[in-house]
Amino acid sequence: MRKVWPSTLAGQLALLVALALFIAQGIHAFLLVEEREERRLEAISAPSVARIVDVADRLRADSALVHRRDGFIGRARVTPDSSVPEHIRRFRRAERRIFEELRENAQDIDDIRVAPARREDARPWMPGFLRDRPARDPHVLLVSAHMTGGPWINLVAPVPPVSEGILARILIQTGILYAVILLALLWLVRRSSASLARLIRAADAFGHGRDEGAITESGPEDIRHLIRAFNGMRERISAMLTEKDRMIGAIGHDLRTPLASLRLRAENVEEEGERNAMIASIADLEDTLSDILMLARLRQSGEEVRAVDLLALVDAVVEDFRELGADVELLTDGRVTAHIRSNLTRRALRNVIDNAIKYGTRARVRVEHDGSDARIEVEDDGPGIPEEALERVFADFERLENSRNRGTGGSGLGLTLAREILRAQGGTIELENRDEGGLRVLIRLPLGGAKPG
Amino acid sequence: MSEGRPHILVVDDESSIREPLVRYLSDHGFRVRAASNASDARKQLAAYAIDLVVLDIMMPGEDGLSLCRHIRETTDTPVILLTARAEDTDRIVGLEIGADDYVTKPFNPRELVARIRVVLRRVGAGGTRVRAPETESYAFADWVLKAGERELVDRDGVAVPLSTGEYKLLLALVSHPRQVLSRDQLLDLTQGREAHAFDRAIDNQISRLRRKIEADPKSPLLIKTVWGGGYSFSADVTRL
Repeated sequence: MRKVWPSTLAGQLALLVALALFIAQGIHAFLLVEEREERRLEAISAPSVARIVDVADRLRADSALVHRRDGFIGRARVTPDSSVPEHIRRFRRAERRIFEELRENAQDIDDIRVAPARREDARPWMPGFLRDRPARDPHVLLVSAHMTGGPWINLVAPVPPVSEGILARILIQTGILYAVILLALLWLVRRSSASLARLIRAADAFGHGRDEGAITESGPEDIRHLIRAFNGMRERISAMLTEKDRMIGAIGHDLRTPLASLRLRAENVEEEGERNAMIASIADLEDTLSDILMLARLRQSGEEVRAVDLLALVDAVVEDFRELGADVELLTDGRVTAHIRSNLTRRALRNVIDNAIKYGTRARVRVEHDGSDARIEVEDDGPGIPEEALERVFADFERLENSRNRGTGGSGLGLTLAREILRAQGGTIELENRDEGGLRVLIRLPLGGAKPG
Repeated sequence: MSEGRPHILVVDDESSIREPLVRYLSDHGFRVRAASNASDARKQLAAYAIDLVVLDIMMPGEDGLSLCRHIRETTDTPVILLTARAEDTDRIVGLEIGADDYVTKPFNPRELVARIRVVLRRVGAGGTRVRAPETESYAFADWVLKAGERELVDRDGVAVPLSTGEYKLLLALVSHPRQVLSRDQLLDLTQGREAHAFDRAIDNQISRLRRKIEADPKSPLLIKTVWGGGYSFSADVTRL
């Protein structure tokens, strides 16, 4: 069923119309055949009825006629037995019809038998002048009528031609109908489904954070309406997002100025320990602020997708940590070209490796790739994360208090930010506890990058 | 210039920044004046021999970018911009308004002092004024070094990201092509302020860079080792 029933609107419409056409043509063909049959019956019954009535009249007028030597009265042969045995395949419809017509003119006819026969078998029932007349049709009809209390009147009637080619004509007609209607339908469906397809693409892209602008209205009115509704919605959402970005920008600015002021004044604190603690707190606040701003405006990031050597990128991030004295190791070597947002991807990776160093003391990074995806693994030697919390660490501001105390700093947005950056490029990030202890972060990133559409 | 103490003008409408900044700079050996808006700054620039201007971009009335353009048109006084919004840095890069450097709020005051010293040294040494370094690209051999992006781009347009250390080192090398640079000089050029790296790290990064840009890292053609001296970048460099 699944295979037969098409999934798209165009396919369903086409199939439905084809089915409906098929049924309609079937009924049409049935009616047509019926009408032909009716005319054929008419062609059989009318002359037979006339002849039977005539013979019956003559018999009623002169019953001695029965005893003529050969039994022929005109074209009919009058015999005590019917030319049609009772139990053969008979032409019942013709019988009924003739019987009904006879009833008006010859009430004493009480039985009618009609059956097809081969011409040579029918010869005894034909008058002499017909017997040897050449005929194309080897078939004839035997018509036999019984007079109440009297003999059978037997006739031989020609089989009216079956109208040949009626089926072929119906088939041709159906074909033409199919062609015309399906073509028109196809045109209509294509017209609407092209608009629908554009709408689907745009809605999909918008859902993934790529705004491709308003769609031009086209297609049938209801689809235009749908597009109009979508455009309106897109506009309102865009306006809201723009407003959000503007607001966050303003908040960021308003927070940065007092932070800068605090940072400057901190330098005046005489006691060195106190001063350094203050500076560290301010730096923390600054990091959190920048994470929030970045997360909130990821959508707005103007960074373009470019061809980047992904391994060199991972290597650069790892090297940055090593330059700061962190214990990080890159275990893969080589070159992999990926189409990604380089700076954002760097940021995502930095957050992941930073976590590994903070909570797992040292990090090992591995990169694998097949034709379409890169797989980046970051392993640490830390305590890992309770299974039930593996997904929770991606939530905004989530920090697992038992394993990660405030002293380690950070906004709790690091992994959220990493995941959002990767997702925007069609990638994924997962955490798992290693059997040997420690945490493993699995990043999967399509090498093709996020392409519009 | 008198008494050998550089004369700095701080322009910021926010007194909460201006006042502690003035104090901090004074504590670090500068003579400091302050202005809370552009017109006040213009007056002071006309009245005093100012060696360097620290200028906030976002100000009511005439903003910092406009004032910076004015300073650039009328004098050679170097300018360091203060920005509060990350996207302002894009504007600075885009506008190429002639600032010598910029820092983003909230900034580390020690870093600001270091940058002030670097800019003053550059101008004082009669060095030609360079634009904010982030705006440039350097082409050499099959590569383009994009300064703002911290990336090398190869002939096929594939970007090769660099670590901070590699980037600074390569930037130092390509901005002094065909000159012998000692490890000391390279440290100066790359560390700028807090130099806690040592010679070994420079050698290490040189070999990392060679692996990235040399066709055969064992017999390098671009970054050559000079016996007893240091390193020299021996390819033609075009600024883009």
